[in-house]
Amino acid sequence: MFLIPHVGTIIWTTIIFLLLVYILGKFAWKPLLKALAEREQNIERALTGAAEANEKIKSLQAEQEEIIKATRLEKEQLLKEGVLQRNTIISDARIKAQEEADKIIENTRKQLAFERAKALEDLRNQVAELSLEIAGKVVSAEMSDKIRHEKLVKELVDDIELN
Amino acid sequence: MEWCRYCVFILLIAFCVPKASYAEEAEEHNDFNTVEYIFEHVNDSHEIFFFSTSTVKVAIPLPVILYSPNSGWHFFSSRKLYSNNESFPFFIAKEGENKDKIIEKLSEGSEIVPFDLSITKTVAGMIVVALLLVIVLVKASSRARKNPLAVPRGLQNLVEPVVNFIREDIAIPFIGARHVCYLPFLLTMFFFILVSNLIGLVIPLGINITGNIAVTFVLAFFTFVITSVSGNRQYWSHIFNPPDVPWFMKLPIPLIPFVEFMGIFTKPIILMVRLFANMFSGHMIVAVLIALIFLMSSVFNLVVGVGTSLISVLFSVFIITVDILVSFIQAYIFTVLSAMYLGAATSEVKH
Repeated sequence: MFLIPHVGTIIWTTIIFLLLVYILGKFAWKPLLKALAEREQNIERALTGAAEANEKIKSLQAEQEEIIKATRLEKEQLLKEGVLQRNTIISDARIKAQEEADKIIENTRKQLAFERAKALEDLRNQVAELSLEIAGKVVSAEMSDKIRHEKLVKELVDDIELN
Repeated sequence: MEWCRYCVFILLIAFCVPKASYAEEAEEHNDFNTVEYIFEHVNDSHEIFFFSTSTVKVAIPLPVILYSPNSGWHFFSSRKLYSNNESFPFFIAKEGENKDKIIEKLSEGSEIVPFDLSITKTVAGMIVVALLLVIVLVKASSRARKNPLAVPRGLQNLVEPVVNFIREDIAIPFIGARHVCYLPFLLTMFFFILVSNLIGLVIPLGINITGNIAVTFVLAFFTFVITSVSGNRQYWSHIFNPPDVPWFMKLPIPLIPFVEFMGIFTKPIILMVRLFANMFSGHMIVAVLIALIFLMSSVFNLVVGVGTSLISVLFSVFIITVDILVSFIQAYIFTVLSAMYLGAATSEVKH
């Protein structure tokens, strides 16, 4: 009957199944399960590593951006300062130059005035000398005509005074 | 992929060939015994029978191993058993209470039943399944053994997802942290049942491994033994003193403990019967469909038989296709339920 288990078959099945569990357990399941577990761990490690790297990249990017921003600010400030400095330097220079120029002009004017005054005095002295000389000559040459001479002298002196 | 198509083609021919050969058989015996025919093709036997005509019988004989209390151990080919040689002391009973068993004729004329430890068709099938599993699975794991981190290739790709499925979706959810020590058992169980089921579907061989109740008995018995041995204190206390049950159900008459105690045995018996009944009935339906051809041709005539064969073959192909699905489902269910019983026996959670 098909419903009554056959003892011989039971014994053979037991032997075959036990052998199968032992052989497969040792030579098939053990390495396969080990490989599965190891691969699982490896993938997990790789994934966490990737996530960490991503995080790091993000923080690095943020840092980089901050640095760029700071640099840009600094550059702007420097530029601004530079412009300011340039302007002050230029205006300072201009003021100084003006002062210098004014001084030079003043000096020149003073010197000119001084020179003129000196030249006038020289001229006056020379005129006086010349007139004395002339007067001497006239006196020595024209002692005869006294009246005419006097007139002449008078005229000369008047001329000078007029000058 | 060309060879794949050839395989399907050969498989289809394999489904058709025995039917044609059975038809020849039917012509020989006009008095067709349907019940005997069906059980002959579903039950175990001492040879792998293909077909026979009036002159030739094509079958693979299998070794017969007997222990007789009278004459000790015997080891011979089953060809002798079927040869109807009067001088040979062993034969298979055709009827009576020892029907289909090997009988030994003693010299004084009486008959005894020796202990039969033969390599029957089922045992031979199991040996083939075991060899197939060892060769394929050891080869599949050879790469993993050498380098566990290597990318799986070939057979490993075929086996590993199934192994991972049993680990992730059966062992871990049902058993929990302790699954590691039961995993080899569950994996072997699953692959053994699956391949046995599928080998059983190769019709010309007609090896009905998991449709043999002795085989499913042993498989269920292993589940029973492992469950009982690994059962912890909580498991046994739940059986003999179930919590959340009113005291009068336990005290003068231990009704619920009795039911729970019976449960220890009914669970593996259900496992045994389910697998057996599914595979046995699958084979039986195909045998019935084929028997229908001979029945029709012996009741009416050959033309009706040939007409019936068309329908029978179509239905057989359908049933075998369903049986392929059933093979997977039954292997899965057996493994899942075993894992569940193991999980219940080892769990520490209060519920």
